[in-house]
Amino acid sequence: MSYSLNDEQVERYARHIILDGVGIEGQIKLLNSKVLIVGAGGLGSPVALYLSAAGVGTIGIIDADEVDLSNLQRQIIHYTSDIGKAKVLSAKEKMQAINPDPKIITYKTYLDETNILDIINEYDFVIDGSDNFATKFLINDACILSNTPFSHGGILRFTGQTMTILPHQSACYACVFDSPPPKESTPTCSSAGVLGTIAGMLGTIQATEAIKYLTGYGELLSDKLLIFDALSMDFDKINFTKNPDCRVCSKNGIKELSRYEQISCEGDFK
Amino acid sequence: MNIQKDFRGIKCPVNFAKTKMVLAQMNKGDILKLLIDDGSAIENLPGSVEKEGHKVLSKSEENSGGWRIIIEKN
Repeated sequence: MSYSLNDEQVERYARHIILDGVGIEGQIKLLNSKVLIVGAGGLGSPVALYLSAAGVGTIGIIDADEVDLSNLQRQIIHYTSDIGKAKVLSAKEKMQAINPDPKIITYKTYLDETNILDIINEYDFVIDGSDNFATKFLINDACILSNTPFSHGGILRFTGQTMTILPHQSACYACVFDSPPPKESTPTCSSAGVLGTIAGMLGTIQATEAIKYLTGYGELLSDKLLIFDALSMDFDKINFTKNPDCRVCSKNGIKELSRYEQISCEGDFK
Repeated sequence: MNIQKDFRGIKCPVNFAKTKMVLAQMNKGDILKLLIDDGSAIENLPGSVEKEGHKVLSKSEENSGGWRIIIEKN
């Protein structure tokens, strides 16, 4: 690790530098860290903004889509003037405007079993801000195989859930949920609304987990699924342990990636 | 080693962040002579430096404005 802070950085990161638990050392760790954000949508927006502001040294962001008018209610990294622009480019512009320090790497593509490992291997931590179960399980599998810690996140209507996975140490996404839900139990287009602020609430928690992991400070949401319901503002943590028979992360778990069926029109979860 | 820094005109808490950076590059027992502003700087900075484990040896008001504080690095 190498990095010294210049005068401008000392001023920019002053509130981190004076914070016990981050400090000079933690800030330098962040500047030397690499985080991949999957999805430049509802969750990816606050994650990308906060991790850029925090000075994470390299941030990858992957999304195949263009900005659409219906995204703007919750995907706060994109502006009305960005409609039609690639989401990753729209995101990169805002991230660089907030802070020129991070190196931003964009991937305008869909993640699949053929490209995910090559991309993930470049990073220290992954944020799942994807909008479908196929990608969520694929991210889990790839992170388990490549031993890359990641933050799972999902939001729907007024609720959110998140868990931090430390591969082979803590419960993985498949330990908790096993496999994608059957099509008939996933929300239909008409029931897949989400309050925009829920994306901000959950994405901000995911960004915080990334910073905690990278600085080594605090207690992660590993072996714990945090769920909240914004209507009652109840937050709960459900404890899990690694499933010794997990089809993904156990001794007899997966040895290579496979494709999960994409369920179409299950709504937009990000 | 003796280091002098003039952090007058630099607001809280940036003046403290800069002080932490300078102290981090010094050795135990080294002396840092700081010039800082009157007001919130002199009210807050010496206490923050002490909380980090360093010793504030003296505080004196400067004729040219602000305060001179002398810190021994721990």
